[in-house]
Amino acid sequence: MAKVAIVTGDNHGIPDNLLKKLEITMLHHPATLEGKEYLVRKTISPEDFLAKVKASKGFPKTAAINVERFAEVYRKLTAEGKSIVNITMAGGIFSQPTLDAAKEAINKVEGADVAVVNSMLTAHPIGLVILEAARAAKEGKSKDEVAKIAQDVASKSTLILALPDLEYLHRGGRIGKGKALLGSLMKVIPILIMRYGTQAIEPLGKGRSIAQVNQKIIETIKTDMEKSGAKKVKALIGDVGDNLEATKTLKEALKKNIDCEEIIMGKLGCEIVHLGPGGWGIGYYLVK
Amino acid sequence: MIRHCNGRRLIKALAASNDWLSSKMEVVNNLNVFPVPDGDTGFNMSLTLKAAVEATKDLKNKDLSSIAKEVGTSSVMASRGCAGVILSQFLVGLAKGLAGKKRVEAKELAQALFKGAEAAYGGVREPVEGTILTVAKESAKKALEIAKEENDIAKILREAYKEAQEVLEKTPEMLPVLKDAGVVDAGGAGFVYILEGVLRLIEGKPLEEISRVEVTVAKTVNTWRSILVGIRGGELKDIKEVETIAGKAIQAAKERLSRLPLQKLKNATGIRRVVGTWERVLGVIQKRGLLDIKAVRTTAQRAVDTWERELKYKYCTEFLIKGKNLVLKEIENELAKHGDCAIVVGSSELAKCHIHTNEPDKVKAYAVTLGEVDKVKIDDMDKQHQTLLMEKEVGEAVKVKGLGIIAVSTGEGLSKILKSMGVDEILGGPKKLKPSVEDISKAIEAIEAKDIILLPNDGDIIPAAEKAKELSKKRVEVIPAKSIPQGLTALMDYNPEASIEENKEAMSQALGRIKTGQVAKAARIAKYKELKIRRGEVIGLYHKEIKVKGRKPQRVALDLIKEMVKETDSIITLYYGKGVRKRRANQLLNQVKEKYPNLDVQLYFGGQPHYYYIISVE
Repeated sequence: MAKVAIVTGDNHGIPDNLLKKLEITMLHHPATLEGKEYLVRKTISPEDFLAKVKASKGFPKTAAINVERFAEVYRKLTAEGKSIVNITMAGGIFSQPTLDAAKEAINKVEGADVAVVNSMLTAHPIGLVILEAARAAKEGKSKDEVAKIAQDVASKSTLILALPDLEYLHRGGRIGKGKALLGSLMKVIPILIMRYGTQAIEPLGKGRSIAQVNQKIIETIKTDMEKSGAKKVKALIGDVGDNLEATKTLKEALKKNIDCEEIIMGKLGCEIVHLGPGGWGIGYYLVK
Repeated sequence: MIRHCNGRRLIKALAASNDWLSSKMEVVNNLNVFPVPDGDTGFNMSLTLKAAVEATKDLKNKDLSSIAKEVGTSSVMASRGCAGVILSQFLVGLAKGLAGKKRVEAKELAQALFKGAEAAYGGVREPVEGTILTVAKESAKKALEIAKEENDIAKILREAYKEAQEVLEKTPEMLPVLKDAGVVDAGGAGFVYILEGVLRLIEGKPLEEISRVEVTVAKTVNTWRSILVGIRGGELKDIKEVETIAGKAIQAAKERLSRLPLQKLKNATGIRRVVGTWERVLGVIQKRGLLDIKAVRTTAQRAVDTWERELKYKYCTEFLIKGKNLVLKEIENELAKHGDCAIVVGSSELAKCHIHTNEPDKVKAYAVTLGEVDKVKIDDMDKQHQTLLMEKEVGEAVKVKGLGIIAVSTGEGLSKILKSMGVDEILGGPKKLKPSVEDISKAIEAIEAKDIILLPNDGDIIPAAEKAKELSKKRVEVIPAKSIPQGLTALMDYNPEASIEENKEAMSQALGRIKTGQVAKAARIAKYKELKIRRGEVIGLYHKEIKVKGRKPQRVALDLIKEMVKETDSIITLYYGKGVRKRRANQLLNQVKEKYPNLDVQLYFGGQPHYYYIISVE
C-alpha cells in the first residue's frame, strides 16, 4: 500500500478507471451556471453540464477549492497515516486562491505531511503529471520523490487547446480581451498553447477544420520533439463532451505520426466552463 | 538626323511614349493571358510612365542627368503591377547610364538603353524570358550593335523598335503560357509602344491620344505666332483683326478649360499661362499699337519668365465648390491672393478650383464660406511627407503595435474577412487599381508598427511589394501570396505574439496548403489549348490554366471544383463575387455540399469584380 496519497482538483481529464486504480483523490471546483452550483463529474455528468451550458444564455463560472475542503481531505489521509502530494493548476490568473488554499490547509491539520506541487499548467497536461506521480506513489516512492517526479513531468509538459468559441475562455478571464477577439468572419478554430512556466495561454494559430487543427497540433509536437531531442511522448486527449470526432481523429493522427508511449482518452471536468462547446485539446509530455 | 539627346529631348521622348502608350492602353490590357476582364498591364505601365513624365515638369534643373534621375525615382514610386515595376527598373538603369551627362550621342544612348535592360533583369527575383525583359534586352542589344557604325539616333531607335517588335512576336515561343493563350506578352507589347511613341515623335506622326490640353496650348501658341509674324511682316495692320484672331484663340482655350474635369486642372495650368500671357500681350498691342514689337516682346518675355521661376508655393490644392450664384472670376481673384496658378472654372453652381499655395487651410476656409466644398485634394509638390501627415491626422489614431499587416483586396466582402483575420490596412478594393509601390510605401509608413507583413494576394503585385520593402526603413516582409485564399491561409498561421521572422516562416509555409480556382466571364474570343472560348462564355481557371468552360457560372464552378479536389482535402470555400446573387451562391453551396458530403463546404461574400467565384480547396 502506498505511503503517499495524491490529491488534486477536477481539471485534468483523468478518466474514472484510472482515478480509481491509482487512488487519486479528486476535489471539485464548484461550477455555477445561472445561479446554480454544480460539481462536474460528481453531482452532474460532463455531458449534462455541457448541455446546460449550451442551452443557457449566460456563461458558467468556476470557483476555487477552499481551505476547508483541502483541510478535510488532508485530515482524512493523515489519519490513514499517509503523506500527501497535492498537485494544483498554475496560480496567477488560473486559480491563485486554490493554490493558496492548498498551502494554507496544511497549517489547519496537525501532523499533516503535505507537499504542494504547482504544476504551472492547467487542464490536460496536469492529468499526465498526476498519473506519473500516482504511479510513483504506487511504487512506494517517498513524498519528496513523488513531488520531484511531478515537478519534472510538469516541466516537460505542454497544453494545446482548439476552441471554436473563445468567448468562454475570455469570460473566464483566462485570456486577454484582444486575444479573445481573434475570432473572425470566417469559420475558424483558434488554436492556443500553454507551455510550462509561461503562466499564460497564448495563440498558436488557427485552423479551418478539425483535420487542419489536428495537423497543426501534430506539427507543434514534432517541432518540440526535434528541439528537445525527445524520442517519445505521452499524451492525454480530451474534448468537452461533444466533439468525439476531433479527439478520435487526433488520436489516429498521433498514432500515425508520432511515437507515443501512451495515449489516454481523457474525461474533462470543470474545465468545460472555460473551454466552451466544441472545444478539445491535448496535454503531452516529452519522454527522453 | 538626330545626333544627340539632351534633357529636353528626353522629356519630349518620354512624353511621346507616354501618350502613345496610353492611347494603346486597352490593347495592352487585352493581352491578358486569360480572357478575363481584369487585364491591367497597359494601365499599370502607363501610370508608371506618366508619373515619370509629370515629375520632369516640376524639375528646375533640366539637364539630361537630372531629368533621367528624376524619371527613374518617380517611376519607381509610382510603379504598379509586374510590368510597371520592371519598366521603372529599366528607367532607373537608363538614368544610371546617363548619369553625369548633359547630352549624349548615339553610342552612349544605346549603352544607357542596355543598362536599362540590365537593371530590369536585376530588379526581378526570377527573370522569365519571353516577357518585357527579353523585349527590352534584345532591342537594347540591337541599338548597341547599330550604334557601332551609326550616329543617327533616329535610325538606331528605328532598328531597336523593329527588333523589339520581332522579339515580341516570338514571345509565345519562349513562354508556353502565352502560346496556350494565343497572345504575345503584354508587358513586352507595352515596351514596343514606348519605343514606337518616340519614333512617331521623331517622324512627326500624331500621337493619337495626345493630351487635348496640350493641343489647345499648341493651337493658341500657333495662332499667336502667326499674329506676331503677321505684325512683323506688316501684313496685319488692323488691331481689330488681331483682336478677332487672338480673341478666338483665347476663347477656344478658355472653353477647353471650362470643360476639363477636376483631376485634369493641374494640366490646365499650361493653358492658363498661355492664355494669361497672350491676354497681356493683347493688352499691350491695344495700348501701344501694332508697331511697337519691342514692347510686345518684353511683355511676353516677362510673362514667360513667371512660368519658370522657382517653386514658391508648396501645395497644389484642388477642390469643388457647390453653391449658388458663384462668380468664378471673383473666386479666382480671391484664391490668387493665396498663391499662384489659380484657376477656377465651371458654372455659377459648380466651381472647380485649383491653386498652388502655402496656405491650403486658408483657401479651404474661404471656399467653405461660398458653398459646399467637396473632393479636396492637397498635394505637396515637394512631395509625400505632408500628405502622409494629413492622412494621419484625419485617420483614426492607430495603436502602436509591434507587428502590422497590410493586405491587398479586390472586394468589399474579402476586405472584411481579411480585417477580421487581423489585417490592419487594406489596399485596393473593387474599383481601385492595383496598388503602386508608392501606395504600399505610404501604407507601410502610415501604420504605427515597427515591423510590417505584406500580403500582396496577387502574383502581379508581389514585385511592387518587394520594391516597397526595399524602400522602407521599417522591417518589412513580403509573404508571396498569389491569391486572396492564399493570403487568408497565411493569416491562419499569423501569430500577433510571435516575431516577424517566425510569422514569415509560418505564413509562407502555409501558402502551399491551399489551391485556388476562379470562375469568370471570357472578355474576348480565345483559343486555349484545345478549348475554343467564345466571348461571354464562362471559364474556370485553376493552376494557371483554363480547365473548364461553359455557359453558367454555377455549372463551371462545379466542374472546376471536380478538377481541384483531391482525396486529402478537407475544406472547400466559395467566395461569390459582386455580380452574383446570394440566392444563386447558396444554390451552388448546396450542390457542392451534396457532391462532397465528407468535406466542409463554406460560402462567403467576396464582392470581387470580374470573378463570379473564387474557390479554394485545402
